[in-house]
Amino acid sequence: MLESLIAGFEAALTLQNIMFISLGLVIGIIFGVLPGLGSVTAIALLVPITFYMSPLAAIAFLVGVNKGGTSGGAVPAILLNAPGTPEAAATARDGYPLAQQGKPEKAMKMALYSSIFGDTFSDIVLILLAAPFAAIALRFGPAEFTSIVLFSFTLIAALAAKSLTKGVLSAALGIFLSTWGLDPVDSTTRMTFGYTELFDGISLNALAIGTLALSSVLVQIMDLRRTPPKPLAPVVQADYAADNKLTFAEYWANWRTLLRSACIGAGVGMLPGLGVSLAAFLGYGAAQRASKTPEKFGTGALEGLAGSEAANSAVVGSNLIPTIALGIPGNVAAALLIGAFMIHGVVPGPMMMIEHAELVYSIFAAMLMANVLHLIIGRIGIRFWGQVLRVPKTIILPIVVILCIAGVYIPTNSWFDVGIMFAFGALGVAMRRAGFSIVCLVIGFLLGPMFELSLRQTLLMYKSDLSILLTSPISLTFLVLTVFFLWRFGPAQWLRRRRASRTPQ
Amino acid sequence: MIRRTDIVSGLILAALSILLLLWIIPANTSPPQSENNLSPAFLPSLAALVMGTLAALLAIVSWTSPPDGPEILHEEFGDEARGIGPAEISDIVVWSAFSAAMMAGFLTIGFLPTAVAALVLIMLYTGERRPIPIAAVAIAVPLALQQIAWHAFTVQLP
Repeated sequence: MLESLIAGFEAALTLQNIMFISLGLVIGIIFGVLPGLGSVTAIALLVPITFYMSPLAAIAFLVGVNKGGTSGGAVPAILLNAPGTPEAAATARDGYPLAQQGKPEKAMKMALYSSIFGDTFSDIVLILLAAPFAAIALRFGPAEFTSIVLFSFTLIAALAAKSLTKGVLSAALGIFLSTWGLDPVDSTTRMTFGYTELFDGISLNALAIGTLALSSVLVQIMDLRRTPPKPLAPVVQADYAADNKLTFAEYWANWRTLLRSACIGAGVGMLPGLGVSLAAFLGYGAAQRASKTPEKFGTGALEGLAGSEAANSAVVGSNLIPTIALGIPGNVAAALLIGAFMIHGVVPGPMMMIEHAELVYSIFAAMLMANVLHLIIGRIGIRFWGQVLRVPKTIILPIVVILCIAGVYIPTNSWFDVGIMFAFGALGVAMRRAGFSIVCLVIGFLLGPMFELSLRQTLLMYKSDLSILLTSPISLTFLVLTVFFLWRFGPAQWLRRRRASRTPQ
Repeated sequence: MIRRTDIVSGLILAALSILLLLWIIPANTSPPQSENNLSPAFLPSLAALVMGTLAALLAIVSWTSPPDGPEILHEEFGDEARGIGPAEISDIVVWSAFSAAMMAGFLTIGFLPTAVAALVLIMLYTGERRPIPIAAVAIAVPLALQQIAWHAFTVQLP
């Protein structure tokens, strides 16, 4: 493994890759700083552009965007008590009070350094565990993969969506949309409605950008029309230069918190469906419970900042473990990275470590390099990121709409795909308003073909006898877990809510 | 409004699923070409059946649930998920009309003039009224994108 990693560094350590990683970090931080945008919007917009890059540069660029976006959300959380991303909500609890004490830079430095610690820890976990997980996954056959994908749908719907019914419904819609195009076995047309443009199916770029990026921007535009934005409050400046200094001793005094939160984030990241926000709040809560001065949390405690930022950033690397080992995305960002891999002819899954081992270890090396660059860029830009917040939403949001159009058109030269994106933009707005999970839709769309392929392979191999799903121990385990989660988050939760509503207060 | 939205969306999705199962999927798929192979219509039909069943369940459970209680923020969308009422429907209709007009513009007069017009209209829609930022952004952004598309990706935006 070490030799492979050293070889990976040789391939990754080029000026071109360093430039792309740096660019990705800057773009990611800017998108993370702007409330309502975030790393998912940035990745969705930029995946099509990476078509023109080498596979390593493309993935390194997008990983940089993801890392930057996750840490960028802390800036508005600290300066304005308005988290740029949902996972930064926990950061605001101590970041904003510290900024109000005239120490905004100190808070941002602590958030940045904690974020990089969590990121690095998570990347090391990924490097250590990806190959063993993939080796286990190599023993899985089509029957096992059928059950694993079914379990993934249920887990993601149960944990990512507030309502299991709506989550599974969204996932089923995603699966249905994934069947459009040519049948993968017979090559006959399926729901193409006479359009040759649909022979390859619905474009992942159009669907992802439409539902994730465009619909988010449209909802904000619609809300802006009804409720004009409030003027930004001025940032409290430090009285003394020393107030904004963060010494190494102050930072490292929180090493236990950093390590604990990084472990929590890495654990959460490995399980599909558990979001980055959950990791941030779990990390913050654990830090408070373990602290010798829990009463200081919420008043500007550096420990609180360390707890939330280390945890939310530690999700980024470990999220790629199920993505690389099984081809199953841990969250939407990982799902979009799968799309980027596929654009470059790399299919995530257990065979990836065998067929593209050099690329995989080069990506690992690029991720470690990205953490160093993140430290430099984040530190240099600390006084600049706050200024980005001053750009009004009435300017930023319309620009993002045009970026969405360009992002879909440039790789495909297809106005048809742009039209599809517009349609998914409208669908995304309706789903957001009605509370139907878009994460489940995208993951259903991505995993639908894998589910169909593994099910059809099972049927062909076992001559239509599906009892193999019950006789294979691994397959049976995942089917039992599927049933458990369906019960636990479906009827059981509904019964609990009914009992609670009937209990007199 | 959430409860009413759930009931209506459940009914609409259930009806859509029946339409898919009885007409759209059979009319747009072929029979299987080989033995021991799933029909191409299998997975779309299974997905539609799951959607229809869950949609009906959503409508029934929402109908029998008590009226909306205190608002709990949606985990994924926060306060954006407030239900669909007349205002939200009109927003979607406005976007549909606007995007159709943009598509017509892209196909007839090209990217640059359409993007300029779209930026001006969207900025006015969001409440931006300062003429200089509107003009600067509306001209600079499409021009910059056109240049980047050509010089970085050798793609000519029409």
